[in-house]
Amino acid sequence: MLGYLTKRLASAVPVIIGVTLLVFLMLHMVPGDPAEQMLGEMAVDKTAVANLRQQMGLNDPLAVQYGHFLGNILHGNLGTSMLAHRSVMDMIGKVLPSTFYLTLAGLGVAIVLGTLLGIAAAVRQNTWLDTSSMVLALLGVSMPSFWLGLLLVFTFSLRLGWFPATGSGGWERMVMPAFTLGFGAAAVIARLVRASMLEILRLDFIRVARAKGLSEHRVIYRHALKNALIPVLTMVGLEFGRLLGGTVVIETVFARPGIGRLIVDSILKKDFQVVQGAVLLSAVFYVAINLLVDMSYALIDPRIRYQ
Amino acid sequence: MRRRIVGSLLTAAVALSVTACGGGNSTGDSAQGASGAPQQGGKLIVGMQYEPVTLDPHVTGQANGIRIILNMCDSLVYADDKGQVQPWLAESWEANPEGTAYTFHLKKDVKFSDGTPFNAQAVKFSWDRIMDPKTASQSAISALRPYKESQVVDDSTLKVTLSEPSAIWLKNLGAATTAPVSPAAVQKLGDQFGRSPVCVGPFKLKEWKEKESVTLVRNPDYNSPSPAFGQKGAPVLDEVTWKFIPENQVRFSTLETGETNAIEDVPAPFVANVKADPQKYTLLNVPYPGSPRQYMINTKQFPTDDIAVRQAILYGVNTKAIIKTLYADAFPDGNGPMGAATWGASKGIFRELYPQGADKANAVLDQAGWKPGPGGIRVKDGKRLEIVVNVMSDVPEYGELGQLLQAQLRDVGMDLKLKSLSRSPWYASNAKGDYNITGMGLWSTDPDMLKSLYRTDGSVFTWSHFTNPDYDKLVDEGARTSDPTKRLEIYKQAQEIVMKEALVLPIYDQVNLLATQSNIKGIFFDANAYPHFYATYYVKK
Amino acid sequence: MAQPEPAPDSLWRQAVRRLQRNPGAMLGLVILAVLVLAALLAPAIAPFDPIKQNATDAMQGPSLKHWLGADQFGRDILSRLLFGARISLRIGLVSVGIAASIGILLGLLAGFYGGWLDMLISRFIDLLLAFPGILLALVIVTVIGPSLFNVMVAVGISAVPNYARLVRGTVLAARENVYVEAAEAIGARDRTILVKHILPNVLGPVIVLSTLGIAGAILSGAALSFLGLGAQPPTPEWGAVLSDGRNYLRQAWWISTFPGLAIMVTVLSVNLLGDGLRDALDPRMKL
Repeated sequence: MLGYLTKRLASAVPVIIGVTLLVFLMLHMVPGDPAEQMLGEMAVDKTAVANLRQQMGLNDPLAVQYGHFLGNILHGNLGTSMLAHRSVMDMIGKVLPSTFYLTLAGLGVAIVLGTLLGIAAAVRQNTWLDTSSMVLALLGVSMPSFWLGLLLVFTFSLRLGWFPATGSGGWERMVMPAFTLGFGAAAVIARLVRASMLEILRLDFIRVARAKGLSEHRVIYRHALKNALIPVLTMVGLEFGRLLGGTVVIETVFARPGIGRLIVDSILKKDFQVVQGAVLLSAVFYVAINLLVDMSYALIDPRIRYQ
Repeated sequence: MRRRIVGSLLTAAVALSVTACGGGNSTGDSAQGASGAPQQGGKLIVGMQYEPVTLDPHVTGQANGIRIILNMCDSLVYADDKGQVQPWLAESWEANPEGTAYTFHLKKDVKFSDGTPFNAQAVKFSWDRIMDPKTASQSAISALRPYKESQVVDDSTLKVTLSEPSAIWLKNLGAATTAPVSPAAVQKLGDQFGRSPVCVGPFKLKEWKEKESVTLVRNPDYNSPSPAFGQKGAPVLDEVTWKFIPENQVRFSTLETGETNAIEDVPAPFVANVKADPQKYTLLNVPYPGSPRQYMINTKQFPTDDIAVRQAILYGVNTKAIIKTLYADAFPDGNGPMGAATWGASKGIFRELYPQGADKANAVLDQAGWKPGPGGIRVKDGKRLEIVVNVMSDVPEYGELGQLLQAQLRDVGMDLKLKSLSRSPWYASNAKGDYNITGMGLWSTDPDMLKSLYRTDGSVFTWSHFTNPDYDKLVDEGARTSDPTKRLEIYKQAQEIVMKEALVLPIYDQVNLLATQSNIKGIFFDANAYPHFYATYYVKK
Repeated sequence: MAQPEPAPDSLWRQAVRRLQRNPGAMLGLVILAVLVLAALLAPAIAPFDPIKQNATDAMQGPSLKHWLGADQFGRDILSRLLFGARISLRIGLVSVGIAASIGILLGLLAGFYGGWLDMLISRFIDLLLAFPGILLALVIVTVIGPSLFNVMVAVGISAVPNYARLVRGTVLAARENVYVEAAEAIGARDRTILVKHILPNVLGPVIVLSTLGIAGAILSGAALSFLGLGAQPPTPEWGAVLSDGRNYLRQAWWISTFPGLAIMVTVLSVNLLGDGLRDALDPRMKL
């Protein structure tokens, strides 16, 4: 067990190093000069460009720059925003919790919605309920999320006045963003729950339970569901990443603070240092979550290690 | 998204700020009158599209930052509605005859909102801070130039030396970007000063929630409003909050639900919604001083080096139709080289000289030897009448405007090629001049902008690439002259040259559109058309 | 996937028969066929030029002249959607093509040759997988600039790891099988083993993944358009048409509603077909 954990932990190291390299190179692959991009119209002033290049350390050889970059990261320093004159780490630290909660809430919505639809489909296999549950689940993944978000604002905020449209804090500001985010991921879970429920309902111990005269309700919710949810858990890490990426759009629509919105805003403002830092931290965060999820499975169910 | 685009451009313009500053006076809603009794206290929540990067007045280069800053930072002077400089934190001043040395007498018994006394040392500290390269000032530094140094004579007297005379320097001090800041707070907060700036002002910062909102709270000790505000003492409102809501549709929805009480930069499609319900909403539209939203026409590149082609563009483009299509008639027709609300603008000069009409465009082109050719595109000496339009791809508005121009000018035999460039190549191409027309907009309270835009090497924005010694001499003289009557005469001539030479195609005059709930009164707009909430109050229903 | 070698034809035929019995998949297939046909015939059947503006018709609601209404430029929405179908479907197909071809190649190399090559490729795949969701595509577009082609490249590259991982896994599983060992034993060349024995096993999951990938790519293209980093105007990419119209939701609901529905119906159909294909090929497929 310990061996597996160390190996899994060690495998994340080259990935993280690769991510830093890729994120570092990003700045240098931007067409034209990064300093000129940031200065916009002021780039005509060649001294300003030279100063900014100096400030950003762009005149050093690439390897040296990457060395500085890595060294800074090891000290928890993701650089300074050239526009805000602030530590990028500070900017990210302020918004990361909000994104984390939104992603968790979205995951919750996806699991609840997906499980319910999956069960409904499985227990009434090949009926209209089966088909309509699965189509409903697919609807979420078929609508552009910004469109779904706008329609929700229109309906539940503007027309019905149930929820505030923007901002963070309090469950009522979480409902619409979490639903928009989670609805898109519910289909995968519904499909998985349906398939594994179908499989399990055919298994011996369920038949035994039924034969013992347990109510159908009890059979499904006590026995079958518990087992059907195991494959869902294996998806959590992957889905978490998808939802984390999805916040880029959702946070913009609902004007929520978050790392996704920070990235989009910084791309539009050409504040590349912030883009670099935020993308890097999102990736590290995601890798860490996956690592945790994997390790906890390995502890719960040793068979998973071999997959 | 539409206003953002303009916004980002204007940000650029403010950054130039050789001209883009000033402070002053023009009330927006005094005309509507106050009905109902003012209510003491209350909170105002304003929906703004984008979060500013910093609230440090000396660092910022963004209009949205300045809009918040000016509610907590008083300036030394302000410009009134006649373009005249009036005293604010400076009670009076004297200048030497050469205009290179000023002595300011400051208001006494004024404190920064952290309690630090406001005095000559603080002003010197602030201005030296702006000039310090380490501050990396994006806008304040160009407003303060040609500031060289200052000497503290006593607590309330400051002597300032300029490195060269300037007719607009004093006026530029009206910009909130040059406002004095608390030296104690700067020393204490260091890098974090931009997150919680401390100035002399009616409000002070309470909280900045990253990527969400900025909240200012009433400064109970405030005692230094400018006379233009028409009110004394601390502000009426307890708090003002700006919420940052990028999506237009959502930002407008929050006004309808009451999540916000006012929204800045009302997107054009929503203007009709606001106007349709005067019981619920008030629309304040205050023209921004400066250039219209416009296209600069390159005089050095074929075929727009031919004045006939430039004039035909001005005749041929139906600006009214563009404003209707893209902006729901929310903006007035482009006035000329300067928007109609700018001090010194020659009213209606564009359409006076170039009444819109395809027939007139065709006549000019016919006369100049551009004959109809294959596909309806005109030809002269075997060359097609192709016009290259620089389109900044980061900014959808450019694309939309470009498409409309393309459709309209095809009718007079021009073939517009839209050249899509991302931000930095777009600026590079504009500077190099390998295009025919390119779009821009500039905010400025002073006609000195005519120098920035059309003088040989006037600034980085001289995208007509116009060179004319007589014009250069004229605008140089304008910059040196301090007599307003003489300046008006000079800039009248300058505008005539710009229009007769057809250097620019004005599309619409830029307007600040602010929508509020109808029970909100007393919003004051300064010379830059920025709203101040110092005297704002709710009406008791 | 552990089916023994014989008679792959009959297996495929069985799959087709299973697919035909799946009403959802068939519905998806029919809708998609209609869409593809409409896209191909767009120049012939679209009533108007999708780009040319017509000020007099601006913001007109659905009518006999403009079945789905006209936008703020007076452009016919139906025509824009018909031409847009070509673009949005192309985004789906091209980016899946990019993703599948690179991904399959990497997966085959890694799975078949193993060793340091596998190491290298697997780490590369892990690296791409470290960027959550649409973030990788976002970063790529930021670097190479927004345009229709760049969107396809970005969305394509960000989907590469899905294919590479899938194919690598399948190849590894197939290699374990007796018939590959037997083929190796009789001295079959690498390429023969790859093409004859391993590719057929990979094909099923790749088809399913690609189908679902088309849906994802269309949505990613739309999301990038929303963020202002996608296809540039006046390109009638569906996501761009939807984004452009969203400011007019109150005054002219048709400008954004119809492109939204077009995306939804298309992606739903592709998903239904993809689900059906999975069930028909192998219900236990873990995709």
